[in-house]
Amino acid sequence: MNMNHELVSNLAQLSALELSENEMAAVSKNLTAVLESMEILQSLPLDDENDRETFFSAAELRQDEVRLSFCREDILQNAPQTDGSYFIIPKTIK
Amino acid sequence: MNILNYSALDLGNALKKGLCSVLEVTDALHQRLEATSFLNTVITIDWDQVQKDAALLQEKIEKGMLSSPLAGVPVLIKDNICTRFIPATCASKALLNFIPPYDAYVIEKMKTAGMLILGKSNMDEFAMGSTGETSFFGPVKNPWNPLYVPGGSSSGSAAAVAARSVFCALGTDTGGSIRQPASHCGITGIKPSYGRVSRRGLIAYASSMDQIGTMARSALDCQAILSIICGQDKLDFTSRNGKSIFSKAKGVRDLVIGIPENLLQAAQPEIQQCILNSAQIFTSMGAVVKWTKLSYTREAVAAYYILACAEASSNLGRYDGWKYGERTPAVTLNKQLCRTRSEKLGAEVKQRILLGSFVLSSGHFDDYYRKAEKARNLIRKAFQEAFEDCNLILTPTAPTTAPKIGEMLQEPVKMYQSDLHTVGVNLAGLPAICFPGGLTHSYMPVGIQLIAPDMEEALLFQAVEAFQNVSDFHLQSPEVNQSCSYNVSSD
Repeated sequence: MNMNHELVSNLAQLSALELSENEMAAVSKNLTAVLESMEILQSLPLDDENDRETFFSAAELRQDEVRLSFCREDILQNAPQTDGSYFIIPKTIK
Repeated sequence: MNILNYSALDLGNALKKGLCSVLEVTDALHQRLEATSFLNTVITIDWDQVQKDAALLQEKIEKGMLSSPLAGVPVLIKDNICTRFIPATCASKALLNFIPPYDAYVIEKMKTAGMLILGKSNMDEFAMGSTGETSFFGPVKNPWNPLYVPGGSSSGSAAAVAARSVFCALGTDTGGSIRQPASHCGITGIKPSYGRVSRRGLIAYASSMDQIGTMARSALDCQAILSIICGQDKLDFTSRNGKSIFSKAKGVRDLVIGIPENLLQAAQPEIQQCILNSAQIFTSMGAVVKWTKLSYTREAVAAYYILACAEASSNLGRYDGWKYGERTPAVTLNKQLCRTRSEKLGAEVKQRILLGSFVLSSGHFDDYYRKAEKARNLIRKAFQEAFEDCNLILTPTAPTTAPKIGEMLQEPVKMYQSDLHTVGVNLAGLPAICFPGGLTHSYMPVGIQLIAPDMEEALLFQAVEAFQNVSDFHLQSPEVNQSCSYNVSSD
């Protein structure tokens, strides 16, 4: 699978990333090599019997009870920008 | 004996008997960490707070308020585990000043037992890496030879334990990130069964494989710490109770240990010899060692990186600079989002996010992600088949000893393939332990890996305790110095 610039650029957009030209070149080269190494999966004898089973069984479910949560100050303490009550981010609606 | 050479359990015993104080211990660690600071094992330690905590714990010990055998013992925490009031950076610019508003479940449990949270260890960024070189804070160095990597991603935890700068540490293991650095640094480290330890408060990389585990100088120490942190957590849906991690049986008599020939042959000759030597030691103690078959080991690497990167691309979608973490300002929301993520996340992290996005994208999902899920099932069944006629599986932990700093970073395929011996265990959710099996002729450590069936940690500890009772590889430690001249010292 050749990870050309157009493909990597689309993936970057999906991933909310901006890559420089140098980064684009390095990522294209690296991902092409990585995906080539993953072609080994194509030779596996895969059929419906090997479809994903439930691998991890669920632990017992807990009661749906109201619990104390964090106070607003604790949640806001790491915010890059806040007015004391809300997170402040760039405008989304014109 | 130098207090820094104590095991964690011996230290706990000495503190209980009043042979030393918690403050004396933390002072000794402070000096040692300063002397070995060039190894770059630590991201955050607040020594003022450590002294306050030490004084409080000492008072509690003197009053007989703490019954745990590890009360007062300091522990280093990998920096992807949340610790209230102490930054959790994941070694990333994206979380540079992030201070969690809560303790991870494992931290709560260790504090209740009276362990002292010393600080946060360096690691590969967001646990993505196998060398310890992708940290925003710079690479960690191997105490056996600082020109070499310690392995990753629990690089700082492993190097600090090996350098005798800490007695024990927590690491995390998603594809080998406890076991491989334990191997490269000559210490003991265990990745428990998936679900044995709560992931609440562990900053996620690949949620279906992440596990917190313990790293120390012996199996007994690893077991003692694991007994504190394990157990079902109501607030982690994937955690579960299981069989006790303590075995009533001692020794390895009549235990059947299988060595997959394909995994042995994939390792360097000196490592193969260490495995065969360890097999002889187990045989001399009455175990039955035989060749066994473990299929799909090469496919496991491909499956692991597809699934882990897919999960990571989702898990790391939260780093947007809106609610916490660093933010790059911009006029529009989308620009701010993209610029924040691009500037604050490192190259390896971005590459794995892109790979994950690719394998999940329409047109490629069936060829990669679904195939990897199916492969995961085959790998799990391969382990089940292997365990039909053996109790434990013995393999190298890594195909080589630690590479030089810079050797692997530009070759992702080579780096990913070096996880050959470890990733299958994570895909299958099994427990596995790495313990020292000797040194090469150039004095680099070789780690032996034992793998057990689900929730059979007790068998692992039973076997390694027996091994470490008759051998002294785990007692060897490097004379750490910057000039790379080295002598091996035994405790």
